[in-house]
Amino acid sequence: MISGQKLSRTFVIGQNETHALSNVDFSAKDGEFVAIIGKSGAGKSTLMYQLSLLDTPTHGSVTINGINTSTLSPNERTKFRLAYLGYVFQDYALVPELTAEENVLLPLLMRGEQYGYALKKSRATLESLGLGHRLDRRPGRLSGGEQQRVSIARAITHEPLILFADEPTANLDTESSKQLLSHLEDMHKRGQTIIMVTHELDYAARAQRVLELSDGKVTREGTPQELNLLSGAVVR
Amino acid sequence: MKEHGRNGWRIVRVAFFLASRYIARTSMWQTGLVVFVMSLTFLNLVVVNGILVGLIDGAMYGFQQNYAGDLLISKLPEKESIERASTIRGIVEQNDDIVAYSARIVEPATIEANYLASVSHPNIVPDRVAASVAGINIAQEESVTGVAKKLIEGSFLTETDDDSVVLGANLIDRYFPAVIGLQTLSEVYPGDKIRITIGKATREFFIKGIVKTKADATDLRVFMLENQLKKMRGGLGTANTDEFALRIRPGKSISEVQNDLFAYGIGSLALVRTTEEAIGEFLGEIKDTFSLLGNIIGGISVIVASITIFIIIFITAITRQKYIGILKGIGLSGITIELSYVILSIFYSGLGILIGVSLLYGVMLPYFKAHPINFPFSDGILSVTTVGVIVRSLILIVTTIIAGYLPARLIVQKNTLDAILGR
Repeated sequence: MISGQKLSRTFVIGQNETHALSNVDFSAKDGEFVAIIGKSGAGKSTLMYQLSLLDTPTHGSVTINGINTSTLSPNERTKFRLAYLGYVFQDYALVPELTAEENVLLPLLMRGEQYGYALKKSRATLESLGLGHRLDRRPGRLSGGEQQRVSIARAITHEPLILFADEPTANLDTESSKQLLSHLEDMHKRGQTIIMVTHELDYAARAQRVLELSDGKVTREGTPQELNLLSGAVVR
Repeated sequence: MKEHGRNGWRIVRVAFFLASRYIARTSMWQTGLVVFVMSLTFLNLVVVNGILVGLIDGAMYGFQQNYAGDLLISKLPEKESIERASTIRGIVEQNDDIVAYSARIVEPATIEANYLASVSHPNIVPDRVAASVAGINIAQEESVTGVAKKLIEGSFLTETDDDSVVLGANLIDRYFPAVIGLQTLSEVYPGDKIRITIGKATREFFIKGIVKTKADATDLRVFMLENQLKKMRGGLGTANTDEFALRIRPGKSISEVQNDLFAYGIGSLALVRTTEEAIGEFLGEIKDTFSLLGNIIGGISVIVASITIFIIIFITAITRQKYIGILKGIGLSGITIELSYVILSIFYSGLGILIGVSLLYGVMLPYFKAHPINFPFSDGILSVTTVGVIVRSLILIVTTIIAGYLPARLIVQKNTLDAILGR
């Protein structure tokens, strides 16, 4: 279970203060698939960065699996991310010098797994995502959809408690986006907790619960049906 | 403790994994260029110092090979010759560690050339120089020094050359252009006659050969047979000796033999000096100065190499700061990423040093040994010691580790999210 209490994030640039998040409460149960939607600049990515411990809130705290993360040092937060969290970034964020399987086995190696085991597991994960024929390709020689699937494989290969996906379909064509969503749904069916940021309502509609943000505040929350999300609509 | 060890090993393993993949898959040109710079830096660090020190070492080696031997026994400053020379000779002959010696009689003399021309042409002033004349036993001298092999004109003395001498090249103006206060002989060649005056005795000799060893002590001398010098001086027996040049058994400590001789009390009868002691502090001080100079030049090259590594790592890290942020984001610790860049630096400097060492031992040392640098006062060798190479290699590696770590740390310490978002 993950929860965020009274999360605020303020950026100070010169004399100006920008309130990207204001007193946002958030929670997701184990195995839940939550989508965060909102217009550009609404604060959805900022919320995800706080929840995923990539950033530290100005006020408020995040509790994951019963651990109050606000007490953790930067090093402990890094270890925590490695142990419990997985990330899928908007622009794939694969290390260009590493092959697909090497990108995926990196978190496993860092967790102290033997190289042989890590390699075997990363290959199995990539194969489960339909990339068994692209194991030794470097990111530059993979399509956008393939790169994003490698990114997912890297995020889930160490079986994280929570998978965060930040606009995972933003750089993909429709077909690749649909495939990616199918993979996320499959993982969710197997019990994976997923928190996804998206501006595409069609994809948000495939989550169990949707949180809508506007100007750094939660404006609506509920199931896709309750929020009456329209198929194919995009939040701009 | 065990947990720390496991964590440390994990960090090293992942850092090595990242660095090795980076090296294997980055541009060969970039890697080649950095390694090339590191090789040049290493060679600069070792060779410049080696040549500067080698000039003096070459001079010392020449002094040892062509004049002093491994140990030189000479008269005490206040005496006219070595006291109880026959006793010393006996001690020297009985010492198994002394494989050869050359006993020399040395007398100050005046050498005149072109004096016949001045008889027929009174306006011509004969050349006249002051020099030391060494009376030698040819076989003994041959067994200790290589003077006979350093002939540049004519030939060396034989046992029957009673009326001949060999001149050191620095007595002749074509080999040693006159400097203020130092006279030389002009237009003298093998076959010419010169006149030698020792005390009240004057005698003519034919010039049989001219030697040039680059050891002034030899090149400013006139060599004649020992018995001829005794004849000129008169009243001298085997007891009269001014120098013993000793050759020590290879592998035997010279200072040990020196101490053995001191133990016999020779120290109170004569000076017993090693090459370094005989050549004087002067060259030792020059050697220290040259070594310092070499280290300064090498130090500058180390700074240049450090800056090169710093820039390379800084540019590499700054262009990859997004990936660094992502690696931190997915759980790689900062120290792991920093260590990967340090390993990269060690690879650059290590490979550079390896290539440098190969060039040094495979090409440069054999080349300089076969073709010493021709300096006026010595045959310059490349003076390189294994300890020196190891120390300089370590200096280069440590410097590049620091130069690689600092920029990596600068980038890695940046906020993870800022790095990911390129802020």
